[in-house]
Amino acid sequence: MSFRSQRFALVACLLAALSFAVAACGSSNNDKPSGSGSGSAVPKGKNGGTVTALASGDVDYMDPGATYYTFGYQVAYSVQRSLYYYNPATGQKQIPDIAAGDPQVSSDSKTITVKLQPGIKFSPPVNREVTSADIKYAFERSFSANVPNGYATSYFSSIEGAPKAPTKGPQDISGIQTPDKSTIVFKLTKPIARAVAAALVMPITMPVPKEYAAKFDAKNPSTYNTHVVFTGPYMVQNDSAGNLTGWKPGKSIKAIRNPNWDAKTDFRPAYLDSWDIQEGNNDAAVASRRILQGQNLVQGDGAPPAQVLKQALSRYKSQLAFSSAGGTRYIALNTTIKPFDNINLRKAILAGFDRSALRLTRGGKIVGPIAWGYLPPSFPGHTESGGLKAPAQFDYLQSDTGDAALAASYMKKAGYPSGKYTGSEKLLTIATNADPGKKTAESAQSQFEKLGFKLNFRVVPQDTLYTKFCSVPAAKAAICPNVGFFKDYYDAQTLLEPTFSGKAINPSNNSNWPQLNDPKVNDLIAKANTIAPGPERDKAWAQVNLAVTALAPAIPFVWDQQPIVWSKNVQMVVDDYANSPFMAFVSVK
Amino acid sequence: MTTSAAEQLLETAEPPGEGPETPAQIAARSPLQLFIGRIRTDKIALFSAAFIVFLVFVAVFAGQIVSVTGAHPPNEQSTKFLDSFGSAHAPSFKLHLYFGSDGLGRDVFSRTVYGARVSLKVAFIATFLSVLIGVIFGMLAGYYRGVWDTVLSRILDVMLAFPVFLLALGLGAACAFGDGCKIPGKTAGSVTAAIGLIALVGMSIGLVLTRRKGMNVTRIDVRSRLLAPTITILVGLLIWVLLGSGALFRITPGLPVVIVVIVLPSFPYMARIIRGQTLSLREREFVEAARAMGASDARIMFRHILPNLIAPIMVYTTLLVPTNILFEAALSFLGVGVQPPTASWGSMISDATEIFDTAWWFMTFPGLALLLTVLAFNLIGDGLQDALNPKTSGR
Amino acid sequence: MLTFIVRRVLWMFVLLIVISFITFIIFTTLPSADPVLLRAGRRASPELIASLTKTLGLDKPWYEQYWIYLRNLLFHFDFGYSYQNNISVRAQIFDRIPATAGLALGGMVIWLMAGIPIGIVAAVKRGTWMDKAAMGLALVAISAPVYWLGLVMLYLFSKDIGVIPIFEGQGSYPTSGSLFTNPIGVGKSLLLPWIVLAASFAAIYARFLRANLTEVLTEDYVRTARAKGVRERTVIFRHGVRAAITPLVTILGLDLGILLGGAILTETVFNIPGIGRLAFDSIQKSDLPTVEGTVIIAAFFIIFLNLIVDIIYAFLDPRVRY
Repeated sequence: MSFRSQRFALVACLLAALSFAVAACGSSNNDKPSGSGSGSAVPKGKNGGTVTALASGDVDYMDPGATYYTFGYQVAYSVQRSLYYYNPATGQKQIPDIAAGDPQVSSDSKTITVKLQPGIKFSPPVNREVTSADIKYAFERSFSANVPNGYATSYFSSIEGAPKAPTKGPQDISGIQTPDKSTIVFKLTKPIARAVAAALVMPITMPVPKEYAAKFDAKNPSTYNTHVVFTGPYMVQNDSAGNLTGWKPGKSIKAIRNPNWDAKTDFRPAYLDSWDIQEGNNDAAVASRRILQGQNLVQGDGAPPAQVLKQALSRYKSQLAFSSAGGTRYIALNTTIKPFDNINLRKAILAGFDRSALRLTRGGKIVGPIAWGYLPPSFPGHTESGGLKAPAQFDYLQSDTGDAALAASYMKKAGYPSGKYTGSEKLLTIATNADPGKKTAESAQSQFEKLGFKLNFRVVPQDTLYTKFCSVPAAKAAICPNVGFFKDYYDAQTLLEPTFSGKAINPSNNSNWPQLNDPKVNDLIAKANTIAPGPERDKAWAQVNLAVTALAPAIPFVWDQQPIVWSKNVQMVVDDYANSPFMAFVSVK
Repeated sequence: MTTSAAEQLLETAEPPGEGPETPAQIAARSPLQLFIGRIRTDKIALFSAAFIVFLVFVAVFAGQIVSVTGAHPPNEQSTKFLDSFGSAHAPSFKLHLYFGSDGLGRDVFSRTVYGARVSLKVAFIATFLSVLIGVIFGMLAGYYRGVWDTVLSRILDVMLAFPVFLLALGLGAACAFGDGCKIPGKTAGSVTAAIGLIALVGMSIGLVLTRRKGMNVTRIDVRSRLLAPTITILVGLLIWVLLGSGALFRITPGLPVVIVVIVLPSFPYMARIIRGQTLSLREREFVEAARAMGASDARIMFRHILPNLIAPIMVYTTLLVPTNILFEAALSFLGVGVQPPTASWGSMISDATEIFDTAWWFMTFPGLALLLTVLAFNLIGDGLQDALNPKTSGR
Repeated sequence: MLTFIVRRVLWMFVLLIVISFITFIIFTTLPSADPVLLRAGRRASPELIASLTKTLGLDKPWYEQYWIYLRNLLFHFDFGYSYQNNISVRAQIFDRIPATAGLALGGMVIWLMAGIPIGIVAAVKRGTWMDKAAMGLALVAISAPVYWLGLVMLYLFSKDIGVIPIFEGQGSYPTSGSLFTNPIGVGKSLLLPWIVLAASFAAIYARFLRANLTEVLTEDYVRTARAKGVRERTVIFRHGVRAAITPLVTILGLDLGILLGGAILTETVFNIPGIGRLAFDSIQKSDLPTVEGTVIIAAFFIIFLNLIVDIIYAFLDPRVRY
């Protein structure tokens, strides 16, 4: 399960992105339910009505500077506007949202200039027009200690004057300039303007009014989270002081129309009069059934489990869509720990593993194609890596169900002449305690034991799994069977660098779970990072993908598709970036 | 919350401890003979006992049972018992899948059979430990009273007020992974010393107040009240200094965690019951006689008091076993317990909650096994209680 | 009497402090997840982690952290803020109390209404098939794990999946309103949980009452009343039940106290957003402030109801003196 989705582990939610349309043509999955995602025509809806999303948990933050989880995104992109975003009608192409046009990149690739649209206003109680200073401030506060932003330093540290450490309260960043009210300029220290511009879809670019937010941001942690003002077509109900009365944490979120929103400035149609989120639906099976059988309901953070999908495919085919998660689930092998430091041994494991059985624990082929590498279908770099089928040089990834003879031959190469592992050490394996992750881990456990390994198998809560073991190299977990990594936006860097670059290894918050530190891979990553978005960049990242796969640091087993369900009278439009119903596009039939 | 209810049953059930009086009335038969005579006529209890024997047999010979019946090994996952969505297979005699499969294609029948091992093991070990600790504490408190008694009743106060389930979950979650949890000597030592200090201050205030009231405080009073807290402080400091950040003790994951978590809240109840019995026994003539003959405290406790406690200990032990089985299952249900792939009834039910609407067999069989086992122990407990309680005899 | 109450209330505070202290020790010395990393997200820099540690006050030694916590609790009735989402723990707990209270109180009504009559009938008709059937059934109810019973009942009787769809199913608990503001909506969804929760309690009370009543009916004064020619019905209810039911008050207080602190298993099976679930979820997430808060509230209910029971007892039983 991905780190980003860990909060929703209890309902075993999947993260997702991309359209079902794209995913379906690439995958072996021929059951083609209806629903609209990117690439397909987005149907026109009827105005009015209200829809309720059933969720298990809450958004991580309402504060756009802090939110970093799918469910938070689902809410954020319907109540806020970022500089750029994705239109379900045009798919992965970044389109201007607050911005008036594409970002202007200087010839030295060190300056990005963005013009803003006029006529975009903050919701009550602020009620004034958005200016470039509000976006500058949104960045500055996200670099402060008061607003815990999880990615600012990863994607925006090349901005001139960007703080290396969280600042005490929002501090001026000299590299973000606002020559006038409708122009914002980012000055960079490195010539990577195009790569940075690609990240301008993230919620950090959602404007925050300084004169209003400063008093909340002065506190540590900032209390703006419960006093957010909005720029999108909807807003969470609030009172005249800005208190979010419509947000009852852990219970519900009520969104109403934002009176200051002007439809002419926005690509979102915003058909619904209002929508809300009901939280605390802990059982995903129950929630999905209620949605399918009910009226005016859509899916929140959970995902229908396999047995409900099975029913849905036969009975509610028109109320189900799949959105590719834009990521890979895999079993990480700690390459720094004996015996996994032996590459032939790792290849033997990959060769012997029944990856189809692993996928079956999540629902079988309906949840997505079996993965061989780390760039999922229709993601930039996927085709360049070789597509759905593993290239021939990876003989150990050819069989979905495992090739015992090949495994034995690699085992012999690794120095175990019996063809099975014969070491006696107990390998620390940390699994999540929630299904389906727990089932995946148990399947892996039995397969490792078949190959001759002895495991010290521990089942822990999802949060413990990451913060105490898998993301902490000192904990020396040998096998992490429940990891997965999902995109931040449509660029292969967001999938490959944090997970396989030696530089990403970090003592307390590591996302390079196999702890792969290979000079060749590191070089390829550094090179790919300097290339501007386009076919060349995708090719470079595909090289990284192949180089990583050649080292067999993990057992990739599925490229997830996020199933999304809705009630019969709802016209669904899926936001493939947030892998969820796009509330500003959803309508009632 | 069946567990807590059963605990209450434990403490509110009438004490069957009229034991010593019975032989006086019917001089010809010893209490044991009397008891055996009564229990032999209780068909339900005998039947339940037979069931328990059967269960122990099943647990011990689980492997043989599975192979004789042609069932599949408990931890063998086979995708042929799953459909293309990974859904479990319904019971089928043709496939030797008597109770169906679970979501990983494992045989529910053999897992249920093997699950008996965990349940019985935990129940017996945890019950034995809580009885042992409870009897020791209870006898000391009842016999010596004073500080022992105060400490026991304070522990009991805290335990009674503590949401036991939350304590168990917290401890269980903390100790269920890695190498388990260790209590650093520094923490244990400082906490012990702090408790001693509080007791010392409390006792001193008590003494001062007594004196204020004009009552006489003798040297012996002072010594008896202040000695134990002082020793506690010293022991605490000693642990602190000697062990530092080393581990005082370590609870390893799996069964040990479950057992500790069950014993901790249940021994005070046992102790309280034993204390009450001991309190009344120590005033009896035969104890006084022994004391007059110069018997040591230890001899009195083991030779004279303990034999008379056998009856209540037996009854409460049989009542504690089903409580502990349910407690273990509940902990496993909530995800604190034995580690996979070991089968336990509670964790099987927990796994089944995800698919109970489509795979009824997966929740049904381990649940029935649990129900029958607990029922059998409860019936035996009832029978024992009746047999030992003269008031309900002749029913 | 007054001094007794004052003494007990003071002792209650001492107990609560001791319990909060034990909880604190367990969760600070044996944390199962790192709250700072949970807050920081997947790509936080070491600097962000350091600054969050400071924000949460986790850089201070444990005794100082505990002292700060205790001070806020005692002087401001402030339970602190959740590590997970920075929301006031007090607000969260108060938000969850109605669900738990609705579950516990409704369940109590059912188990009293079922348990007391069954107990009386069984005692009066001792030895008959009615007695044997009732007591047999009671023992089965005591032996069945509540979460399993819940699943079985849902499988059989819930509207969305049940074989015989009668009751509202899992997750039907409304997100707004409580039993006290929306009695019909919430009551409908709580009906099945009430029955499941009440089953084992009803059984315990019936058995207990039967045993007590049997014993009371052999007392001399009952024999005297019968000899005087008092009607059997009057003997049983006036003399028998009245005396036999008094001890029930004690266990009722204890049971209610425990349940008000959260019926974890029932709340889990039926997806009821009560204290028990909050506690369970926060234990899973190592959210110490929320764990502390729920433990203290749960302990408070237990101790407080004990106190109430003792006071009521003084009125019911004239022999009790303080």
